[in-house]
Amino acid sequence: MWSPQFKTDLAAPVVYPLFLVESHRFGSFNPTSGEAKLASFNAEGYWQCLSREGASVQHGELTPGTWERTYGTMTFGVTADIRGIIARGMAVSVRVGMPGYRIGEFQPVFLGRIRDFRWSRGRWSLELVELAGSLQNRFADDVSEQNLFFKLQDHSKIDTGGGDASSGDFDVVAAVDGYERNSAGNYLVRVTPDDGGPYYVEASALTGTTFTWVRAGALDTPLDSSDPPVVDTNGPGVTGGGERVDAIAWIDAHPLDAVRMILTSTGFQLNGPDDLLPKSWGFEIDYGYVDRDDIQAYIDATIPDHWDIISDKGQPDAQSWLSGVLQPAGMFLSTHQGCLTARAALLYVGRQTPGSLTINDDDLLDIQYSTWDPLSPVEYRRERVFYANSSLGGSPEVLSEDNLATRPAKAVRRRDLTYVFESEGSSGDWTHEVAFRLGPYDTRVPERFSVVCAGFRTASISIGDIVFLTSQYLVPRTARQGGTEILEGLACLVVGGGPDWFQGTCEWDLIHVPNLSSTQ
Amino acid sequence: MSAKIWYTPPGASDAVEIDLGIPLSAVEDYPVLDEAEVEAFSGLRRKVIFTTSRYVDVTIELIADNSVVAQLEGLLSHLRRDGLCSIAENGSDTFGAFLTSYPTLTSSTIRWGKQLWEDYSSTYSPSAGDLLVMCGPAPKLMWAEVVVFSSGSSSSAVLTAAPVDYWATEPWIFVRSKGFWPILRLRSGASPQLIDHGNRVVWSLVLPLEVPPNAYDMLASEPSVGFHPTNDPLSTDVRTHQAGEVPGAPDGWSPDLVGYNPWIGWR
Repeated sequence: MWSPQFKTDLAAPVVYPLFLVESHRFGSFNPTSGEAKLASFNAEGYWQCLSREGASVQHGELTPGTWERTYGTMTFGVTADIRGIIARGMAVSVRVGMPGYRIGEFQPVFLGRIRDFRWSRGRWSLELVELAGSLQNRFADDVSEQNLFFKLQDHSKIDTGGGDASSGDFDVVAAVDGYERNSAGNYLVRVTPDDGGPYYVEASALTGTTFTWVRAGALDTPLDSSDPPVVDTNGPGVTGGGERVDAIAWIDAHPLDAVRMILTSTGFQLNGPDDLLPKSWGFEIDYGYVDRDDIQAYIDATIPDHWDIISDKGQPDAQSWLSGVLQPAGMFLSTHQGCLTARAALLYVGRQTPGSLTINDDDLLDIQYSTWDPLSPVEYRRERVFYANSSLGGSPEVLSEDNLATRPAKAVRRRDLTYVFESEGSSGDWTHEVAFRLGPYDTRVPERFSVVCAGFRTASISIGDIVFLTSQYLVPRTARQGGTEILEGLACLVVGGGPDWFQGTCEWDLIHVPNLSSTQ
Repeated sequence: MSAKIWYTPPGASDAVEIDLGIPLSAVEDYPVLDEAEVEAFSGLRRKVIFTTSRYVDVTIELIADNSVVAQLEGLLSHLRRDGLCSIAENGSDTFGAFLTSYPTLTSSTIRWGKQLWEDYSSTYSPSAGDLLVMCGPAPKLMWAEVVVFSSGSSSSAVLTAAPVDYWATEPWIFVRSKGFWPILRLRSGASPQLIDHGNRVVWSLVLPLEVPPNAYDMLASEPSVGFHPTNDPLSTDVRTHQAGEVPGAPDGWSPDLVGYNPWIGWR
């Protein structure tokens, strides 16, 4: 979180921003190029080569409805050839300060990876891409460790006479590397009998090759008439041998809490309070670059119940996998004040977020307004939220809207929470939470305000924040529907934009769903 | 008295001196701010200042001496490789130093430390009426012209009037003789054709230079990395190009450039 002094200085009528770009070593990624410390001014230990000339910013977006997040870039003009000290993929942060600041007082404004260092017409430029959008691989020098969950490649089998996985402690032929504990210290394995469907078994310990049994049939995989399977007596290595026992990565946590753990975990529990998972399940990002408090604010804004996020194989594109986990619930990876965060699209009735503030005519330089957000999908008649295996008997949570205001419409929006299981006890709470948080966005087409703000006073907000818009230059759609006649304190969700540090402005895309109690 | 440009080619021990043949008054100096200013709907203005600098334009309408053209070609090659140069009038003071005692509202005496370019002419002792220029750190880069009221010594002067006292908060103040630009570089976006040969008999030059932002910052913190670090005296034997700085040499660079004419081979 930015210092109060920095926020005050950004809001001043005249601002003198100074820039630092610094490389970081996360995990075992240790490029031979060493480290990069670049500055736009003369600072001890830094190479003064950053230039505004050729510098630019592109912002990411959050698409309403699908809640798909795109990510931004930041490009600096560079006055020197710095190829000797940078490497593609190197993690870097950008910090901004003011004249008189000590280096330690500079505040992070961007966290990214180096994507390119280009030369054009006699000038170099350094292109950085937002780290939240470039987490395809772990930070590892060893290619075999670059996939998230990279140890999930081997399996074992139940040993002959070693017990019954469905009812008590059991032995496996070998304890493969992939058997690892989650943050609660428990294991999850998937047992595949010769007959009948696979089922999950939770175990509290693995001693040698013996799992200490807790329960079978976890995660909505109850044992049916053909289960429990009879432990095969043929033994390992023999055709028709023991039941296959797959290692499963299992994170039993609130989805946003799970993101905190995945981002920071090293396996050593030394990288902040969320370093609770095995090394192969984490990115090993320095916890100083993960905004724990911001994530906590969004955890608190939803419900505390856990999801059971599982993976049975290494993920070669961890970014897509993680987005796929979060997106159905309107959650996304993002960047807030230069640090990684994970947020949820909130319904803004009476709600504040860490970056909430009011934007008014003292800030506004330009407003582009759309009565119906062109990026939103059709107005759905109904939203139905399913948990995993709802078909087993559970009902989806439904939110309906009686009055259709746009055409085409009358479709049904389906959301599947694939990591929410009925047997784990929170399926009803989560489908209800998601239906009523995202339903209004699905059953009404929001208004969109694309605003440009003068200066950097609003630079502290980011995508996923709720802000309040006041202007005497525009009448919102709400006014025609019995709402306020002026644009005053209109609560909006930030779905795009950010500060343009090189033009002295902040651009924000805001959406507002009418017919809600939306004023402050 | 004419203005001269000095520069030190890479690897050279002495600076090269080029007589521009124009009076110092033909060198134009003006402030430039790299800034963005915006006005909100309410009329409230906000300004973001990224860097500040001073632009120095050298314009020569008529150059008839081929040897000067050859020298200028070498200078341009040097500048295009991020080289630096200095400008001063023939025989003028090359005074530039950091203040050790700032002016205040109640004291118009300034004191300075080592004169960084004293070897190029002689140690400067201020006289009444001398014009000095003071500037502070980027990005604010405060700038003021002051007049010497009376001399104290070669390390101090009393000014006719002290600038306002907010200079006192700056980490450093640099003072130099007006008419001496110790650190200049080619401006970005300069035309590739700075020397024009209208009728192929005489030439003209438009040289857009600037004070590099933060140049004095760097000197303030680490004087040895500044311009002409060894303070070698200027060479009286004016040379032209150095290795690797020959523009358009037909067979690559030529270290022996006595009598070099860039237009040899031109038809």
